[in-house]
Amino acid sequence: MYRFQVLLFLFLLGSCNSAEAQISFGGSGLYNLQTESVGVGARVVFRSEKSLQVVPQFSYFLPFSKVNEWTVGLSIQQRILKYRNFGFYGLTHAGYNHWINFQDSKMKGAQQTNWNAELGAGAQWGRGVKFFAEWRYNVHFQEAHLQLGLIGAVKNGQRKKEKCAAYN
Amino acid sequence: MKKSVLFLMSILGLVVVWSACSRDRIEEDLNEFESPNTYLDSKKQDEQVFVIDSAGTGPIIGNQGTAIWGGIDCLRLPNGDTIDYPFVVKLVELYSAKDMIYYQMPTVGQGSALESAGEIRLRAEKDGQLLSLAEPCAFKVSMPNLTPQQNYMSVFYGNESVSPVDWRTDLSYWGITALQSGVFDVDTIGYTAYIEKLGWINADRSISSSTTRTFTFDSDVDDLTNVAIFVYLPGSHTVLQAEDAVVTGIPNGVDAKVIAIAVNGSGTLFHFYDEIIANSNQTIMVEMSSITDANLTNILDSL
Repeated sequence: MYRFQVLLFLFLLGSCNSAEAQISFGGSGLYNLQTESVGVGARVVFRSEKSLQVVPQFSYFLPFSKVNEWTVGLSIQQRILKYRNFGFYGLTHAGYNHWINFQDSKMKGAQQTNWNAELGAGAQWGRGVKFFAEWRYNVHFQEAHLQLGLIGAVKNGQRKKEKCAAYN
Repeated sequence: MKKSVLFLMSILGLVVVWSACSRDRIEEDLNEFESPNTYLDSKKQDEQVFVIDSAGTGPIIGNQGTAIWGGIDCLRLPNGDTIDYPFVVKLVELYSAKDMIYYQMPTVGQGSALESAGEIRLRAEKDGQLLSLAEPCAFKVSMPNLTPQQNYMSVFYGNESVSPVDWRTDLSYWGITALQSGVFDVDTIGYTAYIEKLGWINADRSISSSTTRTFTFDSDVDDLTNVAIFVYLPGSHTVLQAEDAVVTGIPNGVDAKVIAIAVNGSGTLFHFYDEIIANSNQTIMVEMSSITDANLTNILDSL
């Protein structure tokens, strides 16, 4: 139920978009290939129409997963290729990690707070509401995770004038 | 062009990091073991010692029936001098799979699995100094076998400079000019041949197989670092031993018996046993379980 609400929110958020926008909001589902954990994520994409983008983001791996943690951080995304509605980009990410159930782990040196760095690549496609998929590698924990989500743009400088249906 | 290069570099970078993934955060503690060598050494065949104090007709006969004929005139000290009586002859006999496993003496020659009729180690000493055969001398050995085949087995010598011992037929490797045939003849004991070098001797035959298989051993519960893993091929009496939990060169389609042996910090004996047909490269998941010495011995006896 909780996951459904998150997806619904992201969908409605994505419905407020504009080709002119420079700021986008998005949400995603996450799956860590090594820890076999499932999570959700949220992000804000600054300079969303530019090739170099700045993306603050938050991720949360859910309590029923083997690893329960949250991470807040900042990504830099560089578009590599663009073809019609498809775009491919590489990314780097630095983040602060709070590993909630670290005491359950047998890993040597496991601790609650960590600084993470990630490298990755992604693709996005669509007009207005865009789908995106990312593969990211966490250098600190040597883990890869996948993200699949939606991004929707908000008109730059017109957010006060246009009321979005999502908030009606 | 610049974007293409960036893209290719990104792909390359991702491939590199992909190969370094870790499951450390969710892995359970693996059961750890200590080296099983002390246990295996305690079970291996004793080296038999024969004191030769006068001339005779021979042969020297080992506990398992190996017969040896040789003369003092053929023996030399490390400095090349001849010797006088007495001197000692030492013999180790490994005919069963169990004894080859206890001694950790696989039957592999330069990477290829060998069919074996048995292994012996024949040495001679004088006052603690290891003796060698003078050229062009040879000792005759007969190795017991119930169904020997003429012109079937070759004389393989053990190269002890590598571990495990590597079997090879070319005496020139040691700088010896071969004068004997290098192929076992048949006598009333079994296989017989003239050997031109003391040390490890194996009556072997290369197994011809155009396709070979690899067994890779893994475990979700056990650390296999100190686990001795063997693959025995009963059809050819071949013993293979895993290196870094991998056994290569298994002839395609043969029946294989896997036996793994370990000892934990408390001295408890553990084992894993499986029977597999080697019709593909396989990853075999190992789960060690405790076993008594008597029961493990029974398993090895029944290989």
